[in-house]
Amino acid sequence: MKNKIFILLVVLTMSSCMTDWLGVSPNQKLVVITSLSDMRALLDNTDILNSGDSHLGEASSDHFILSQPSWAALSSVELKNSAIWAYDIFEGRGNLCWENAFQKIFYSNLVLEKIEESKHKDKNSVEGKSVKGAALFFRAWSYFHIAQIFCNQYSENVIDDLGLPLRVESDMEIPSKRNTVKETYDLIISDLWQATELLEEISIVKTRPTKAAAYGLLAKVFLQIGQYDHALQAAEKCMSFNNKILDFQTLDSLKSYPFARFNEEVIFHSAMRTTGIFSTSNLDVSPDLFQSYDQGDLRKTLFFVRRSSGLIGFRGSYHESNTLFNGISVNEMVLIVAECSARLGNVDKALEYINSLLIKRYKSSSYVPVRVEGKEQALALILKERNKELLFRGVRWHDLKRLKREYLITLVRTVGSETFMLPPDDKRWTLPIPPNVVRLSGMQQNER
Amino acid sequence: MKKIFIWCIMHLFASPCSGQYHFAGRVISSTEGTPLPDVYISLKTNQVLAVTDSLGTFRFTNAEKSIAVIMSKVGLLRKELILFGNSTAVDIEMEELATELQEVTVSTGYQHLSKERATGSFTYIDNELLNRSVSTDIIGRLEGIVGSLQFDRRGINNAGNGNDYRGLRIRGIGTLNASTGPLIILDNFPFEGDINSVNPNDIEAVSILKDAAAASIWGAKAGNGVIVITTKSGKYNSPSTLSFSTNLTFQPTPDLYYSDAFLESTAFIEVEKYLYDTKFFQNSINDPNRGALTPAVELWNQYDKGIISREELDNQLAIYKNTDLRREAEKYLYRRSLNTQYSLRSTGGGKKYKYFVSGGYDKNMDNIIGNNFERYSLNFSNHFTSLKFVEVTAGLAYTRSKRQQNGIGLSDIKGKRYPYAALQDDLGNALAIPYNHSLSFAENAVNEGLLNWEYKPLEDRGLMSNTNNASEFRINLGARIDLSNALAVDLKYYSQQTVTGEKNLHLKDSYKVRDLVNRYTNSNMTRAFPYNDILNVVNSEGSSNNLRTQISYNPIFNSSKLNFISGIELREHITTTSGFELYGYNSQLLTYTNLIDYTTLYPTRPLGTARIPQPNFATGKLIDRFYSSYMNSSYDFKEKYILSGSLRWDASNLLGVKTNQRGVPLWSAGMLWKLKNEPFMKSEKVDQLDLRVTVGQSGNLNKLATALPSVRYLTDALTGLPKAVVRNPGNPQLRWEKVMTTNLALDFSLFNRRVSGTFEYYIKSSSDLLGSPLIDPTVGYKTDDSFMLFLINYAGLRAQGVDLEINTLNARGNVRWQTTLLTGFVRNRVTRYEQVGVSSVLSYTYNISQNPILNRSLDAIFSIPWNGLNPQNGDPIVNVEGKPSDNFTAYFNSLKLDDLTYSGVTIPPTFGSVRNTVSYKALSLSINLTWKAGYVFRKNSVNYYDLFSSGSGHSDFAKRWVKPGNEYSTNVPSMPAALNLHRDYVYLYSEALVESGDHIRIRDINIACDLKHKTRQMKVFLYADNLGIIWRKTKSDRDPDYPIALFPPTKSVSLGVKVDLN
Repeated sequence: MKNKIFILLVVLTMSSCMTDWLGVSPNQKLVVITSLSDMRALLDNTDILNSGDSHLGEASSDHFILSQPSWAALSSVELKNSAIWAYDIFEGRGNLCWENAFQKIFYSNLVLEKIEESKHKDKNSVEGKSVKGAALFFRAWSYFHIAQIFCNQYSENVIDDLGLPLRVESDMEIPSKRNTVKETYDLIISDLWQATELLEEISIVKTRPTKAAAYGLLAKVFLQIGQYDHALQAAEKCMSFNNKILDFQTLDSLKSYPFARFNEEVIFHSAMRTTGIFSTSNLDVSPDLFQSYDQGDLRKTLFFVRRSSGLIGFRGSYHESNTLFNGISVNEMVLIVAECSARLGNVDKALEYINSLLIKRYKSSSYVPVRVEGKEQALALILKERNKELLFRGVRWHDLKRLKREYLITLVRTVGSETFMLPPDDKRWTLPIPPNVVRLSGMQQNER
Repeated sequence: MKKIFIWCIMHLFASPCSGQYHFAGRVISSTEGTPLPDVYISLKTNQVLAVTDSLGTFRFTNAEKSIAVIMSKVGLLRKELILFGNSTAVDIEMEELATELQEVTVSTGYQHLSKERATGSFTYIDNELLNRSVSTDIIGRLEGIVGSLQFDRRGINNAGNGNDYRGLRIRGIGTLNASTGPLIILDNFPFEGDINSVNPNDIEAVSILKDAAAASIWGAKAGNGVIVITTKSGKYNSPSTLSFSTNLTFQPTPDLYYSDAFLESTAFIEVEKYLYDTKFFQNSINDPNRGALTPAVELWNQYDKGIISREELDNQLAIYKNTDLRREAEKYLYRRSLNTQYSLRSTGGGKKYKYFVSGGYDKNMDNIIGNNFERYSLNFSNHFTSLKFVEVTAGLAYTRSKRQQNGIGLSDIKGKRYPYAALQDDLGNALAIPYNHSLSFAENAVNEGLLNWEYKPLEDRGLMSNTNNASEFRINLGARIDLSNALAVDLKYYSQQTVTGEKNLHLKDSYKVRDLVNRYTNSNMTRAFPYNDILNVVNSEGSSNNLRTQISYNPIFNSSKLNFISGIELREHITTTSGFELYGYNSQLLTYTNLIDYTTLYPTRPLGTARIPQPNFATGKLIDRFYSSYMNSSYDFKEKYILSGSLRWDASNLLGVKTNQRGVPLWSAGMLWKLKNEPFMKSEKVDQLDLRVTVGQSGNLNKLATALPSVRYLTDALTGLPKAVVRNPGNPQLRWEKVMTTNLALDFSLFNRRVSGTFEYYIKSSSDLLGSPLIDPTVGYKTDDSFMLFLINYAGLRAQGVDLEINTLNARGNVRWQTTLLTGFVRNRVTRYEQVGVSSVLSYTYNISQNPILNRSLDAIFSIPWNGLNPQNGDPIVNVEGKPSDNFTAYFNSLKLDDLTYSGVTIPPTFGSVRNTVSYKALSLSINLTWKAGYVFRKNSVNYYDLFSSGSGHSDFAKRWVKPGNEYSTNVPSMPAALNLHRDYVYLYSEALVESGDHIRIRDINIACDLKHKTRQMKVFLYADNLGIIWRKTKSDRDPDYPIALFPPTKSVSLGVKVDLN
């Protein structure tokens, strides 16, 4: 009997020792996600969450020109085809724009699940809420940005059109099926409303979303779907946290990249994929766009650089490099407030906001506040200024998509002797789903 | 377990009592006087009384005072005698038969088994056979002398130093994880690190464990087979001997003209001229970054701009056309290689002590100038017997090696690729190759006050120093306590400490430093990057500790014998790495300046801005822990029937699994029937006839797979905050890979051992194989993700095959002629594969694809159907929607797996060797021929896309379609007007380029002269390796084992001497 007890004791101590001994992680750099700081660290991965947004919209837009040799020399098939609105964009290849977005969504979903599993105390702490808010924000961010590429422009009569496959769980075994456009926007908006509640007002780095960032993105979303009253409110709410506008007179135009990264105008920092057309040496700014700036406009020197070839290059990224910034900044909020005010009939407010921005963009000596009569002129002025202010940051494609019917926009690009056109009602305004996704998931392809 | 223990105790105390007679003695060799273990002492009725132990002694009791016994053992002359009880221990001499088949003892790493009485499938390579070939490493010596062992070299593009054994297959493949080779055991424990560090002169024998009964004792790591390497040790009661051996191995300069991936200069320049005229290089010429241009393009551009005259242009082009990079490389980059090896050994033993001491030195001068290797090794092995029943083992081995990797091979030249590159001019000055920038820009840098910006490969070679120092300590401690004749306890401890240091120094004038300094020199000529050396160091330490306690119990009953072992084992292996990089390093003063601003955006030359790249710092720690308990037993009944069984439980520190999933039980069972000992087998012609059957399960462990999501911490470059990256998204259903092996074997020996051999049939069924599924990226898994690894148990594989080994003694007497034939056939088939989609169709057309397809071999290769060339323009003929088309992209995108044709397998299912050894008096000659059959390989050919965009040419360019009519004689498409990747693919991955790999080659020849004079012995030998292919099925001159190599393995000749003094 004694023996048996002894043996049992030995076995028990052995097995518990063994459990500890074998519980050590085989790679000391690898951990299983357990703590809030693990979750925060996942969302602080700026290579994944604050970069790599789709550049296909920008490549399909009208802010740049392409010579025949430059076009032919592009190694990226997707950029080459996007630039001329070809029917087949990917030529059978996979696409990082799609994959980057869904990787962000996977990270967000993983964090959201781990937060739910964590202790009550952690979950309800300020940091716990903030991490959850950030995950919701990043999910909404990704869905919103790729919706502009792969879904039809939102309007009342397309809400049942094919939207994005909405993944809200990290489990990779769950198959992907496309939801409707309405469901896509419903998720984006509900994620963002929750995020505005959960996020903190300030963050230690601009790559982490804040309340302001959530309202800012909400403003962008509402503007995109034509809910101007909501957009106005959200943009104003956003500006209540930060309304600092960079004074361009204080910037050094001798610097290669005059705009500091994380400058005071930036609410949330993010970057687009930058390859091919968009590397410094290749991007040739449309001469029409360049000519639209007045002489006293500081943006004309700060945004652009004249190359030895005589063509104009862009250097105005808030990423302080040739990588293109597509985050949220105060200037965009000002323009949203102005546009929505104008659209809702408050022309005075619209002009007040647009002047508050432009005064920081001109040499103060030469600036004369703009003044126009009537809603339509005000709107035209604001949209023109918007075009001059928000360039090469992903916004142009969003604007073209929402304004193409209102202003009957037809895009035209000449490459060598060939001219390509994209009329407002063309199906090519919506890009095809990458073919490997269609092949592997069986999801429905967009009509082209 | 407990019962057995009680039984043991009983046995221990029961034996000396009662009124029986005690018999004891020792069996020794009549010629050498050394003890003979494993000698059976039995009655004429076949009842076994005792078996001698490792010291040759036996003890037993019997009721009779005097008994007539038979002493027997394979390789010994059977002896009948009468023993008397209660007398003093006697020494019994037994005569060793001078036969071919001596008793073979194989080591499993846990015990030594008589191959005669083992149910499992072992291949045993003795010392003589191991030393038949010459090499610095041990594993390479196994090729061609072990049946069922295959070296997969499909991916090797530099056969010069092909010591890459990740693709080693024992009896086909049992996992999808191609990097998993067999488990290598050194003496008793798994060897961690580089097995090439072990000096082959210290190795006594190698056993290869092939089936479940042999390998499953190693459990979860044995799924790919096990190679057990046994080092030398001394012998009790043997005189001291001193041996010295040395050998030299020569290799000529490799054949750089072998590779067909080269387009000779004249044709290349013609292509460039065509492209230049079509303005193909316009963007590069106008590139504000001043990117590299080939010299010819630069020349035409200068001519067009009026900088040089027509005459200068033509003269220079004529020089280019006469320059061949391969000739340059042969002269300045490669050399004849010379490997030297020295080894001094001493061994001996007394009654209670035996030892083995050795020292070795190796020095290799590789065939790339600047690449050298040196190794020193010391080895001590000691055994002491004290108190009669305790044997203590203490071994110590130390190896130190130094590898210099300063050479530049043909494929290591950086920068632009063009065949007319010259490395040195007539005056002995190194010449520049355009690297990051065009030559004219690089030349002009000095005029702007910058450092020279040219990249001169020959000069750069002298400005770098890349060394890898490694040292390794191995400590073996053991004690064996014989509690009785039958019961023993073994304690073993093994520790291995490895330290490697890789040091990479770029002197201040090396291209790397000059490039960085120039890039970050601003307009007022201040240098942001320090103009001094850059030192990069990576140190890693491996520490492995193993502890084993084992009980062995070998009682003898009336007519049977039990052989039982059981034990537990703990194993830990820790690897730590740390590395750093120092900028502004001064190798004299050992100072550095890492205090550099890495956050500021500096203006860079020739344009743009960038931050200074952060120096590399690396830290890492890996911990592997295993806990295993095991038992293995065999029961030998009447020397006719032997049953075996094993059971093992493995647990390890897998990440992200529940405790109860950390372990897995594995087992085996086997039977051996010695038909010769049956009364009905009385034929004199049959010496041995054994039938063996085994079945069992072993495993494969993949520590990368986790059930819960795991993340890895890094530092975010943008914010400086800690960030996490998902390494593994987790899979809750994760299981260990399992391999079920069934083996059927027949061992035979006929006509007085003139013909002997083994025939084996096996089936290896692997299930729950892990792999990365091809998955819709929408789930969050990027198709080219280098960080994330998503593994699921999704496939099954079944390999089956036969192994045949036949040894014949064709002539004996003055002229002795022996033949060994090894041949085998192995085929694998994917039996389960759960996959929805198909990966890129192209990936099935590669030489190495390993994309599983249900019911196909994992080594299958497919091809795009080939319809010949269009007689009008030399385009490959393709059909889109049933109509001939020139839209190759559309054709390519519509291709499905079903459209491809099956071309065969790229790993030979049939392979073998035949080794003939003829000796006359002191002279012997041995020739090994090897063959491989039943497989194919994909040849390279001209890829116009690569030719145009990166200058990688191919000699098939000369065979291209040029004018109508060529389509009858060639498959090489015409040169397209512009880049058209898919048009190239249609040809490159078509049936037209698949060739049969069947071939026979002379692997090696050994000629030796063995001189004996009493106690002195000297052996002189000449060994020639890689002698080349003597027959091949294909007309192509490619070596099918190295389809993409720059050059095939170079022939080598070794000369060696071995002297033994007693």
